[in-house]
Amino acid sequence: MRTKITLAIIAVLIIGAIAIVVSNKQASNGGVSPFTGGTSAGSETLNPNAGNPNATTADTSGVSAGATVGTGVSQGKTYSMADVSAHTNASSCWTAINGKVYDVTSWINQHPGGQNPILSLCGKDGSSAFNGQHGGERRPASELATFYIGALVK
Amino acid sequence: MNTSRLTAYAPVVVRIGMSLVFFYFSFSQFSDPSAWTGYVPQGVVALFGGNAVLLVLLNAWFELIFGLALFVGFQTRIAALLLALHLVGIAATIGISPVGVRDIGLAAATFSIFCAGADMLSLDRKFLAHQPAQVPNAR
Repeated sequence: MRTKITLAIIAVLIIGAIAIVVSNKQASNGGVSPFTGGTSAGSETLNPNAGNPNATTADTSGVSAGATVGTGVSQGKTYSMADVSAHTNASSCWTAINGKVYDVTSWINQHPGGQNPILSLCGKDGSSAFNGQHGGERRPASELATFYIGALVK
Repeated sequence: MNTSRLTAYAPVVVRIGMSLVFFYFSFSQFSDPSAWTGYVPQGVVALFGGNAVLLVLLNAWFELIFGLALFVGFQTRIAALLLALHLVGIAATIGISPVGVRDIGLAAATFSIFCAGADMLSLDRKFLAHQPAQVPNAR
């Protein structure tokens, strides 16, 4: 009897956990059901080349994430490394990754691995560090895309 | 359900599992040290003349050597204590964040290896008789 009760409790916990995960996934996907498929309206598709180390600046023309989410596609600005290097601290932190420029100021306190890895990228090209840590990972790439502010020009 | 055998294997599972964690991060740091320089505290980097890559490689060697010691169960208590303190330092650097909290849990698990000492499958138990294994009383 005790075993049956224990198994029942475990089953309820597992089902509850699955339900929470599914509902969170639905919310992050903009309400698209994971059971029926269909396109996602989430940040991953706004910048399809996010996290792709082979992407060029031309691939991101006309795509901008962050503040423009939900308001349609707009032309991104362009920045040089001199522009990026002017934003080097926690109050304003820009970094260039894989040919694109990101304002990661608000991410400094949100980064799961602490502040230091983000602060070390401020004002620099963080492609090597980002690709080395998160290369090929969907979630960091989609997270990064939300901070996109423009393309990097040389 | 007789769990006495499970109790005997518990420290083995934790020891092997934690050693694999240290192996993974050691190999990651060896394969791309520059990707890890952001995690090195700036104060420590300054002590080593700004050479963060060197610090990452030193850290990788430390985790590999003591991870190996943990894996085979050689000087288990010493290896576990050093690695646990190492993880506490990392967690303190990262702070209260998903990774930091996770590292605190891993530090606790590694510290439990220090508390348990040599288990029945460790090298200490098999070749160094002065460290008896932690086995339950057989009945």
